[in-house]
Amino acid sequence: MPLVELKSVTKTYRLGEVTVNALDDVSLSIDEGAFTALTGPSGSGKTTLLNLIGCLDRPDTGVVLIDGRPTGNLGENQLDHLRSRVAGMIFQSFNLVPVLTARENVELPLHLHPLSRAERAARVDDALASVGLTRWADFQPDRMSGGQRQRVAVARALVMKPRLILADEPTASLDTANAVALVDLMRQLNQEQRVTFLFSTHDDRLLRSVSEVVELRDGRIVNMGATKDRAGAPHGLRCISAEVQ
Amino acid sequence: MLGLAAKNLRRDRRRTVATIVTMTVGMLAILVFLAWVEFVERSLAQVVIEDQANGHIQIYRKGGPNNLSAFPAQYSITRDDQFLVSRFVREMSAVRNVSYDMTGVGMVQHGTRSSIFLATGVDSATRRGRESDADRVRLTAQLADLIGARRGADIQLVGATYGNRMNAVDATFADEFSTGTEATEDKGLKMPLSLMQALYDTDSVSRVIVRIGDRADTDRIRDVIAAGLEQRAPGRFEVTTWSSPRVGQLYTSFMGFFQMLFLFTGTVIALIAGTTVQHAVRMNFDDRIKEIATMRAIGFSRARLVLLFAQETLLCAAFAAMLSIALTGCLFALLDVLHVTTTLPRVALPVTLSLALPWVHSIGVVGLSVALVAGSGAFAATRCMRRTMGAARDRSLARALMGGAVAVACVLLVPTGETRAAEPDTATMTRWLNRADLARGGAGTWNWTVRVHSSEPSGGTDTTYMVAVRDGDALVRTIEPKRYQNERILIAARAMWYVKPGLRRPISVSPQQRLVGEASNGDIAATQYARDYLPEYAGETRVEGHDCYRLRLNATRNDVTYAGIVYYVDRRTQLGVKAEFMTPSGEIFKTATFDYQTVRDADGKESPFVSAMTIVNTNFPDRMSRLEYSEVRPASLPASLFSLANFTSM
Repeated sequence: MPLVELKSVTKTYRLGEVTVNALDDVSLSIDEGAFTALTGPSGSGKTTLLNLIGCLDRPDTGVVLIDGRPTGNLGENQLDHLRSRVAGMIFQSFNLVPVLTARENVELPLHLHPLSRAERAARVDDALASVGLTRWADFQPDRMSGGQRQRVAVARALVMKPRLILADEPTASLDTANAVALVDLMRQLNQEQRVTFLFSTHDDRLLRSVSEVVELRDGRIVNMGATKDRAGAPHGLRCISAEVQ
Repeated sequence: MLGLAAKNLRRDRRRTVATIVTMTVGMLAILVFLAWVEFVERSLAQVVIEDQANGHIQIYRKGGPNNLSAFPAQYSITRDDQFLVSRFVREMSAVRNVSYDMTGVGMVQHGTRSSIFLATGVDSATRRGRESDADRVRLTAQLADLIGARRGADIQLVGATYGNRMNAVDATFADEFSTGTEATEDKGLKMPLSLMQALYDTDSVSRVIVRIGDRADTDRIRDVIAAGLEQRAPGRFEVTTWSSPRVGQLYTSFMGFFQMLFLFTGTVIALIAGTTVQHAVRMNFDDRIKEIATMRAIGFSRARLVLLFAQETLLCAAFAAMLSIALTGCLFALLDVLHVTTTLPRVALPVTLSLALPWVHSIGVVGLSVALVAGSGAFAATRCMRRTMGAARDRSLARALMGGAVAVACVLLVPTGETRAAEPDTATMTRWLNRADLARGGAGTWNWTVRVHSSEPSGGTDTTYMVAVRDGDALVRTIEPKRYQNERILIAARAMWYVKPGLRRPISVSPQQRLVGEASNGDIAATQYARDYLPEYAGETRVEGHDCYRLRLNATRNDVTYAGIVYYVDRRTQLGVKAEFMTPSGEIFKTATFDYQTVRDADGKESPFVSAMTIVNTNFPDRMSRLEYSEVRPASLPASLFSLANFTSM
């Protein structure tokens, strides 16, 4: 059973008098353990797709299933719970809470769950260690580099031990070295912990390291498959309704 | 979450400080205003209970509070009832003091100057013992100024007895006092109860005053007294407290106004605080929109985020609350040190401004404010959350304006098609008045006896006067009852004087005092309408079976008894059939109808003369007087009979 499945999903937005088709009849499934990139020009629907999978938004039509469970009928609280349990999120501009230290930022999602203080501390330490920031635990974001901040964001996403991490342009604000390091880190987590990664990116450095790519244009999937040879269905990625829409 | 909220307050310190300052000022304003209201309440209660001598509890005859001023005889407490009440009340341990009290109005006179007084008769059982000297009275400074009296001066008090007769007593101006209220500061007079009872010719009192140890206990003790009296004399007494609308009018009206003002001010402050909080939260929210989106993305529910903002607001408010309580304490202490005095509206004397607020009140008010502020923060956060995190709703609020008001003003011009007869000129009307005056004894030289029967709900009285008139001047002497024998009224050159046996000197009776009694002194002595009023023709009408001219008489001087009279003169006989007497504001307050007899004048010629006059109080129709004239004879009376010099020695 795929971890994420979209069936004929459509999403439109109104911008003043203009209706924009952000996603147009998109069907997609992602298996557990995939390391998948969403690519395409600006406005092609990448972020919208991530928001729908992350249950931050609802489709106009179609179905989004997470772990085989349709999200359309879930209430607000159930969606909050699903987000905190199943998916972690990483953003382009890190979005850390500036008044909190790295440790506290990572700990933030744990407050939503009934964990003891010791349990929380252990999890935070593990997450920080996994991103190599143990030494920086008590630093506030404004005293850290962009790469470190993004690693804190990754640790925050990891701390709940989610099965899926959604990342929206995670390397866009990073220099090459930090971007490469982040990509390596994500890949490592994917391989070692079997965390499923789905991220949007324009970054060739990142695209080169993924095994599967979904290319979007004008809200439709125009291409998908392995980045190098594109031969056969790549691991963990398949188009449900058609090879290419 | 609370830790995060506290840390969030450090993000934009300037904004946080500004928010806390605004909240502190708001709460400080509320606390100070509340303390001010409490101060005013305390001061007004003091004025009502002590300065106005109402005590804490008052016992009246049933209906007394509403009717005492109009029917003092009927609604005062008799001597037997005074004993009954005081015996019962004095047994109660919570009662500190029981006294009797009397209120009344009249004129106070010093030499040729006089003024209206509003008096309280205080018995020697009250805490102020200075009124115990039999004829020593206390005046407000303004009243003393009005009559030009200094301490130790001999003054005279004039009033209408409970039997509605004119009376006067001598007194000594002993000391000054303040009534406590501006409205009565130029009329206040305090006198011993016994003197007031002598003035009003009664042994009754207006009410029994009860003072207790603790003001807060008033209502409970009132209930006990009311129940006890009801058991002893069912339906006879009415028990009020100092805060009841009739007694504590100053207190209730002003506190009502103040509470409304407090509500208004509180609402304004709450709106300002609410708006400030909303604004601050909104700015915070907008600044942190990405962070909030992130928190939503990692699983924070809207409710949790709203709670976070509410906690931030709560922390600010709690800090502001502590600050405001501390500042309030400092301000109150400073006022105590500075001994600032202030004047309260409608209260005569300045009072020391002493603000204090019980801790329970302070904490309660501040706690409520904090809760409201935190709620306001939560509300603002919820709105922001809906605005930015929820589905955008395009709410177009269409407002339809109702227009089109059709107003057709129909002015009905009713032509005054009444064909009037030619109006009589002033000379003609004056001639009618002269003839009417003659028939009422207002002209010529006459002696007659008039018996006045006055009736009112509390009973009736009969008094007989002997009247001597000479061309408008008059001397009236009381014949019966015997206790009033030899009381005299002199009307000479429009001035009126009163004297009775034992009075040091005659009292000048003002135009207002002439109205004492249903049948006023002016009515008894007759008046010259032709001399004192200017007639104005007001048509014709039928009265008591007579075709009459309706004349509107306007006073030409301000020392006449009535400001205006509507006089109905028989067209055929030119005698007055009916008169309606008016106040200066033009309201009719009593009416008189006349019957006539035939008498012989000095020349032996027969002429009409009034035989009876029935006077009815317009406002209280069950109060009336009937004057019956007898022994009407022409007389030869010397002018010296009507001189003030001879008046006292008669």
